Amino acid sequence: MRSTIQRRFTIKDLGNVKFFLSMLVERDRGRRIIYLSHRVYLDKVLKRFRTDKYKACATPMNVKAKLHAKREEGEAADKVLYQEAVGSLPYAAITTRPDIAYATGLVGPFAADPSMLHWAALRGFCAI
Amino acid sequence: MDALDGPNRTKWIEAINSELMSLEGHKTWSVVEQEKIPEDAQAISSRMVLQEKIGEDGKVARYKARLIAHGFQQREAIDYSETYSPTICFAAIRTVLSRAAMENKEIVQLDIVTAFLESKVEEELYLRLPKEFDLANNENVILNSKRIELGVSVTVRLNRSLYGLKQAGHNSYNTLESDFTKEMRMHASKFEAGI
Repeated sequence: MRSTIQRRFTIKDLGNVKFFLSMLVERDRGRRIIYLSHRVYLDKVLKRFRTDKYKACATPMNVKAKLHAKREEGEAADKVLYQEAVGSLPYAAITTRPDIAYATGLVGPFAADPSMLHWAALRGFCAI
Repeated sequence: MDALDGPNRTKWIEAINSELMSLEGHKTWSVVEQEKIPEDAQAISSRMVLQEKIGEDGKVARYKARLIAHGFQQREAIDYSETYSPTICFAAIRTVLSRAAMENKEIVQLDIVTAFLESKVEEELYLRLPKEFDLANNENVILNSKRIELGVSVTVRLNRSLYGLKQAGHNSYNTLESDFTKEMRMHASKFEAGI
């Protein structure tokens, strides 16, 4: 198979699958289990938004947190940075981190006009 | 370009050279004289994009240079038409992986080097090369085995699809799909074009 492809294209043989689309693939052949994670991707995201120093938390979001549009409360946050942070999440949410999917959906609507409160909520659950 | 003034200058130049070798190797373009470019053609500018590739350990694994065409300067219906290219859905990846886990099969990973350069471009496109070409070999900028004078902006006619073009992904998928079918008897799934 490899050689048939090689006849037509220049290829780089990466051997057994272990890392693609910034996803880590770990196998336990004995138990026939594959573990997928986006550790590298998420570390990069956390570092970029300087949330890497935050402690990991057990739940992605405070259940009591009520988020409102900015005009009601809080100081304005860096809009572009907020949008970039919000935008980094869906990839993880739809692939290996469905646990943050709901929280990702909650912080999204404020991307047009975020306050520091929204930023805090985002950072809080980004510390995953 | 700031990266070229930094501490990794040699690595970047190496990366640019390797990209040039690929481009030349695929006969990506033909050098054309300024007078021979049709008047109604609009040459697209381009840029050498330098990127640190992060490996599985989260560290810089590779210094990479890629020549990117400024596709946003292309005119619809003149410089490109079809642009659709399928994207695999994650569930499909999971399905393949879980089948392999279940049946205890090997999963190997292959990367087609400069895949976009494998497909021909149908439209008549002209590209202005960036000035970083001067830096590549210091004095030896050789295109189509001809030495190019330094500091001169070079315009080429594209033979191959190039990264950044509107139709690049579309062309690339079609090439892969038809060649895998023809030469390897591997068919794309009717339900998931990425498999």
